[in-house]
Amino acid sequence: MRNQDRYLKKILGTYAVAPAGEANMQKTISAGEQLLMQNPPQELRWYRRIVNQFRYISPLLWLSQLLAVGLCMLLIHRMGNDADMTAVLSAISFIVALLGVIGFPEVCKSFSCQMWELEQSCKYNLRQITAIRLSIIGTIDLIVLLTITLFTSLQTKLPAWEMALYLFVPFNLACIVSFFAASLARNRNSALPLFPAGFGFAFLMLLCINRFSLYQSISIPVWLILCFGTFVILIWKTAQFIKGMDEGGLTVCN
Amino acid sequence: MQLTLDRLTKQYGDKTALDRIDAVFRPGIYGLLGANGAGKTTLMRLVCDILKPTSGEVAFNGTNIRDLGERYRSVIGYLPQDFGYYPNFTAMNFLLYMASLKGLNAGYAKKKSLELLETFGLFAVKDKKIKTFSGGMKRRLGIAQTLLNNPQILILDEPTAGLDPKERVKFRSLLRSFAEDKIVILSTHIVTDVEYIADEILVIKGGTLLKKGAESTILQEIAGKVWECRAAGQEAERLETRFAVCSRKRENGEAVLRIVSDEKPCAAAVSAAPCLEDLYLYYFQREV
Ligand SMILES: Nc1ncnc2c1ncn2[C@@H]1O[C@H](COP(=O)(O)OP(=O)(O)OP(=O)(O)O)[C@@H](O)[C@H]1O
Ligand SMILES: [Mg+2]
Repeated sequence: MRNQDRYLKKILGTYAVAPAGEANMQKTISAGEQLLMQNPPQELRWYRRIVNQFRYISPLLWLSQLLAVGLCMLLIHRMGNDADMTAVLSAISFIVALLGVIGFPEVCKSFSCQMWELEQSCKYNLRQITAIRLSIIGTIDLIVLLTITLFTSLQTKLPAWEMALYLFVPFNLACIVSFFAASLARNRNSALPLFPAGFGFAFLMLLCINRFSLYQSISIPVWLILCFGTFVILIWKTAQFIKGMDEGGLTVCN
Repeated sequence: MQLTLDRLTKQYGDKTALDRIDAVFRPGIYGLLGANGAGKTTLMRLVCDILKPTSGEVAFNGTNIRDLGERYRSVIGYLPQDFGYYPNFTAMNFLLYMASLKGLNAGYAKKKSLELLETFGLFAVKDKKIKTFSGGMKRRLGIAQTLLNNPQILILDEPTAGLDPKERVKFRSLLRSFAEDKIVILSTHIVTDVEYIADEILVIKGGTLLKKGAESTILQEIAGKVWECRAAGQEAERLETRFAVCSRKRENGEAVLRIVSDEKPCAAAVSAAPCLEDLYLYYFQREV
């Protein structure tokens, strides 16, 4: 192929072509432009699609996530000054659970802002958009969570994987509750029920952990099972959520 | 290019919104006419692949659109009856966002968006927030959005609702020039719009397709059933309660009534040439 190319180029090089006039070249270019305007290529690479959705996620979400990280860092720092470890840990769990909730208004905004019908009619439809949004927010949540886990485990001298169990379980549970609340919210075209549900749940976690000192009363294997179980349910809920989009927003609502 | 609806049915729970619709669309402008709740929006959502039909199918050039998926959606443009926007969107942001969902690259999207804003008289407000827009401006922005990808199939749900008469005229001529070699389906309650724009008219009632055809053909149906009669006082009132009255005006103390009825409403009635509004009343009056 290469050889042939070179061969052809060599032959072509021996021909001389009179240079086209400036006017003619312009005419050809504008004709080409017009044709392109009429038949625009409709294809974006996957990373462009991700960047596009990323740009339209509200900066408020990133801000509140930063705030959450900051608060956790502060708490972790306090832990060094021999504060009550269970109390601090449960406070961190509370913040982590909230982290799961605050992403949801962004995920459901197509419904709360009534954009779903428009989006569903586009080439990259609601299902794709939602999947992309979920993965962007999910990835960032994951990074934040791992960071917090790392710092906490450094401070408490507990192994990182054990710390991860303590933090991922409340996070997963909060996300699962949010998914349920989200399908309720879609019925009413608003994101309103999300916050009471999520906050209420996270607060309940906080109370439970402190009241029953869950870190001691539940053994590590049980935490492991809990963590695994919540992950499975979360993944199943996510898949259902995305699949529901393809049925058309309305069918999900009914 | 051909769009075929084959026994298209949609049920919401146990309510049938559309019942076995059969129709073929070829390039041209089609007007959907029907009362509130007749199923126009449902039909359009099915044609746009937004909802999944309960049974039956929509086929584009012989292939089910659910199988075509992305390839089908990239040749359509859809204006929903109601739509929102993300808070803080400006007109330009909105168009660029829609362009990105339609898979258009940034350079083209910008050029085309500016061109469309110009066409729809929104260029001056392109950087204003949509929430400051009037209803008609939002409507125009919605129509502009449908044209971003130069669609072959254009589906407009009540495009003229909220447009002032001047904009309506502009919209009609724009649609005419755009519609060449394209399938355009629009729904409206404004009968004159359909009369002026549409090549073919579809009358939907209670989820079934009653009539489909050119205006002159479907008007044949009520030829000789439209009457004009002059009556005074009591007589006019009696006629109004008994028959479907399309219009009423006063002329030298007498009422002139335009009536659609199978039988001659009164001895003095004279037959009149039917128009689309009469047809609409003929089909939909009796249920109110
Ligand atoms: N999501 C839904 N759930 C249940 N029923 C619905 C739903 N959407 C529409 N319907 C019903 O389906 C029927 C057709 O509705 P549709 O919106 O298609 O009417 P339409 O012709 O567009 O009316 P309009 O002129 O008011 O826009 C109506 O009786 C409506 O009540
Ligand atoms: Mg409607």
